[in-house]
Amino acid sequence: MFRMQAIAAALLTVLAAPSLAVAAVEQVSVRIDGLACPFCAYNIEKRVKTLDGVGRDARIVTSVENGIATFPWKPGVTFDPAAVRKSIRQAGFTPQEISVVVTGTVEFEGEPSSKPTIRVVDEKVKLVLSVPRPDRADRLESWEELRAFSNGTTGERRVRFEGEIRTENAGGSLEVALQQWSPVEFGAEVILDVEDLACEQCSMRTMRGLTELDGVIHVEADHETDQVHIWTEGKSPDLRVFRERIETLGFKVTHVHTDGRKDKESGDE
Amino acid sequence: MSNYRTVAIVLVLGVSSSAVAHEPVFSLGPETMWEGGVGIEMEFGFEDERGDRLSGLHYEVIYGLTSNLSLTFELPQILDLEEDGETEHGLGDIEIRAKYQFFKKDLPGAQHKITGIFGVKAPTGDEDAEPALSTGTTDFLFGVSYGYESRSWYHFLTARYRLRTESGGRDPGDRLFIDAAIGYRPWQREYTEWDLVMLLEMNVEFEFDSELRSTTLPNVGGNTIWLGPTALFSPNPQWMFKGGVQLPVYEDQNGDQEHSEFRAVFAIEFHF
Repeated sequence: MFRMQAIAAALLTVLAAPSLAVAAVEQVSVRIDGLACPFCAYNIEKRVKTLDGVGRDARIVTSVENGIATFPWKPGVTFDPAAVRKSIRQAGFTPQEISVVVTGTVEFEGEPSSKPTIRVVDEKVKLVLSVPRPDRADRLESWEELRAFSNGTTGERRVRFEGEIRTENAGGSLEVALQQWSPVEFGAEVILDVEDLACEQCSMRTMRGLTELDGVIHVEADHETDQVHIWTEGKSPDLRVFRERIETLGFKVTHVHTDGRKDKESGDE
Repeated sequence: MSNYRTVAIVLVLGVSSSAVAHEPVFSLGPETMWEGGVGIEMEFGFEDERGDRLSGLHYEVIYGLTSNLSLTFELPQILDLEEDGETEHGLGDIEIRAKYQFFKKDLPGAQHKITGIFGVKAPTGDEDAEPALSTGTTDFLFGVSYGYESRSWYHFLTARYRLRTESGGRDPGDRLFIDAAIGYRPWQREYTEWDLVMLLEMNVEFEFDSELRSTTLPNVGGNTIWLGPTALFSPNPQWMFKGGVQLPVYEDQNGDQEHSEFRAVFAIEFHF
């Protein structure tokens, strides 16, 4: 649920054409490979707390099951993904994606481009912009317009954003500028019920395995609901390919949904 | 029983046990400390040989120079060494070890690693005590250890060779250790929660012939296979209690030697 909300937040923020967002990093999450036991996770806490942006008093929340460490970032300290990764390596593990929760003012400017241009400076950094709820800020008057773009008037299309992230210190807070952005149109969404998707690792393995397939733009797997969501470029994806890949990964597809997404999505919002 | 046997017993406790974090209790594993991390360990060991007994404490300080290079300083304290009716106690031979992890492959929730081990033991114990608390020699330890650690399963395979140098006409036989262990975590626990890992450890130990003034000593050396369960329990991420018991399931000793009954280890480890 949280992931969907975060993606939706990022999506809607970007679709508002936020050519500039002055914001501050509040929270950092790092996915970590090699983390297998609670005792070993102490290494991460010790090393991460040596970072200027974290400090000794910070509360480090580590999920051994998901392999993710989450910690707050001090206001006014430049966010440095390289330093975060180094601290994880010093703890004896391998850092993967870093997600940051950024809060601040979003300024709307311009219109969405029709030409997809994807440029990612650091492909392991995912920017999740946290924006105010639409009913709490008058500057979000274009909220409905954005909803229409993603859900309504132009058809049942989903979009995902990937953009260049430039970070620099700006008056004690981090300035995040989304310089290049574009919507990527999804052709179709497939939802699969998968048997024996028992753990977070299984979900991650499934996501990695499916993302490698041609034409797949985005995958989300949830071991709690035993469902895998696949967004594709084409409007008529070959379901057999998905089934075969999932079986190769050691799981079994028990049911395919083709029209359940909309209800679930509106529930998330 | 000769002093050589006494020294061998001392070395059993001094070499076979002591470890870092999730490692076999009676062996050395591939674990290294995190960069800047410090570990302190106190270990109690006991071995019984049908009347002859050895009990001792080991004090260890472990420091992580980098995430893949750790140094260990070890000081053994013999609490009670009984042999042929005579007893002795005191400090044993100190040892300094280095571990360098030269291979590591991290996966989601799992880790493969291979570590090289090098150690030096200095003859700081009392060699003239009866029974002796030191070999009187400077010995070297070479080893390599592979480990696989996942959320549920652990596998370890370690080979160690202790090169024992000649001193005063005595040439104690070198020792070779082949250690294997498999571990299982029955309950999946999260960070800051207690955690338990149970292992089954097997240690194959070879002690080669010893010589005194170029004459092979008939009642020293031989091969032993130890087998037994061990457990690692951490009530929180900084403390770990570990221990286990092993029985000699196979013995092929040279000449006339007493057979081991069992050996046991209990250790407390603190990281900061």
